[in-house]
Amino acid sequence: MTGSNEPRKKNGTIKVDYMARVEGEGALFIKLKNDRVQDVKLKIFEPPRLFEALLQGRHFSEAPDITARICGICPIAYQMSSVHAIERALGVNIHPMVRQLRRLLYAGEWIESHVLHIYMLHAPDFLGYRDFVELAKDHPSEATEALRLKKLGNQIMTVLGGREIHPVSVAVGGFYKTPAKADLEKLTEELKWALDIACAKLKFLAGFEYPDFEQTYEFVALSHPSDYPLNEGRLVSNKGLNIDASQYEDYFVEQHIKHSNALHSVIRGRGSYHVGPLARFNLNYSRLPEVARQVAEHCGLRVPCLNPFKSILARAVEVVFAIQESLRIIQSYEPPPAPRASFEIRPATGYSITEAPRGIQYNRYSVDERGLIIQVKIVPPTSQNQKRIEDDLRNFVPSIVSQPVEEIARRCEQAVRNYDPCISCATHFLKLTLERE
Amino acid sequence: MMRIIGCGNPDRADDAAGILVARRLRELGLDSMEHSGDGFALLDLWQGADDVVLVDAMLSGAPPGTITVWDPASQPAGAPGYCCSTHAFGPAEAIELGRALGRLPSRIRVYGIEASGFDTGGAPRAEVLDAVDRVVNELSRYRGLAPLGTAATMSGSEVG
Repeated sequence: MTGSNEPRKKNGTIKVDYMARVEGEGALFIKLKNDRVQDVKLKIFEPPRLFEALLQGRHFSEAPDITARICGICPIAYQMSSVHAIERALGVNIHPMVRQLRRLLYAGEWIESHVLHIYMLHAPDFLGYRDFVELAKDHPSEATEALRLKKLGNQIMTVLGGREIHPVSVAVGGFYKTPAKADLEKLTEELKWALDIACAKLKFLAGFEYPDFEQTYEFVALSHPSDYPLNEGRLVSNKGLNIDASQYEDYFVEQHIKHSNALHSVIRGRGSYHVGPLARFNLNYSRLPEVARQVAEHCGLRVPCLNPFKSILARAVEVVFAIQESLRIIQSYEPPPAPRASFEIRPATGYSITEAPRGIQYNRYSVDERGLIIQVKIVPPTSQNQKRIEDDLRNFVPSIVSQPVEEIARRCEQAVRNYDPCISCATHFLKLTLERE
Repeated sequence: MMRIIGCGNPDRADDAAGILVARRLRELGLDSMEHSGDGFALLDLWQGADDVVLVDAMLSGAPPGTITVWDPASQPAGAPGYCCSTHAFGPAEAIELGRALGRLPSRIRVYGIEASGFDTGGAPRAEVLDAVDRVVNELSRYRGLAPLGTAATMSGSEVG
């Protein structure tokens, strides 16, 4: 690791070698001419991961464990998306309780990932701290409680998945092993504590100073008739999109961009769009449990929220949802008759979209008559948000252009973090270059 | 209670140093833990212990196999690299976070074994293996080290 986090001015170019607190490595380039933004590039220079090619020729049953390695923060998202696509290809119907267990597992990942981003990565921006360690010195109770909340998310993943990072229990058709009711009930007391704390801490987050910045977004998220979306639903937007996962590639296209090893995803004919907690909140508010709607109302987060900086609040509301959903599932849980459904292998193609913590993730899997994978397409959420992040910066920078360069850099980093980008998933540091003419 | 935690990745050449120390101690019948080095989990791992030893590979520019021992209570663990990525929240950051939250054990020592190569699937170099032997010899002489099985022993994957 080389370079420093301090902005420096060099021949009219201002550089921050690593943008702090993101998942992975990348760089940000902003070119100004007469204080007007000429160019914005979110550069993802980590080499391609090649998982789609790696999966070709492997048996479909290996997909959830291979794709989990794409990310240590959101392995469940890759596991869920892969099994749902393969199950759809093979016509597998999962047991309703397996569906509930998958929602519980995903809720654990949302808690772990969201709490990590809210408190350890993003909150220091709003409070003017360099990092979480500095925040912890001044706000020890918030830091301690955040660590405990994050640990709870990890515990849910451990109970259901065998371990918290890259769990090993997810299988096509269900799970390799399902938990006893008593195993889940051990989580109940901690979940009750967490629900109280997650609600109370929204007041702490709502007290931050939020930049006055709103955008006209096309928010895209899953929508389910009754549930706040995790594993299933139709893909909808606030601009009329309403499609099945199998139609995704008819409406969305990935573009090769010279400055990035991650593909840019756009809606055909419309451009960038916004996925993640703010999109889900705006499109699925009525599906949130009452306790989550109440805390959102209490902290002033209302639909439609068009301020991307308030994504931290939407993320915190989703933590409340994930905890409440976990309690609900555990309370009603009875072990399914079999851990996983039986099914026949057939050559087919299946599609899925699930809601990773940072937004929708699209998967397409084709398998042959032996169950070997012929072709895979995986579109992670950060690819979907990457162009939107650039558009936000293009529109945000003019409002702060009169500020010192160090402050412009700091604010741009904060704006990128609104999207909790997982750069490792998308193809790791964010280097910022600000060039004035 | 004393707790020895060997950090690292056994599949990344010299980064295996801490893990190898923990394994050798257990072969000698002495309790020790292996851990990936994830900082958030380390805070929990040393909870309840009043004397903690962390063993990890380090890079300081010294010759490979050089052993550096320091007391973080009187000496900062180093500039946190965590600010760059959650992928880099390791033992040094855990020590500073523990200090900020008043969650440092009453005694903590760090044994750093100088590394030079971290290639995937590679074997640790001879100088590092020699250093592992020397650290094991020193730690196995400590009084207060629990016999195997009397304290929690876990692998990194279990604690993540």
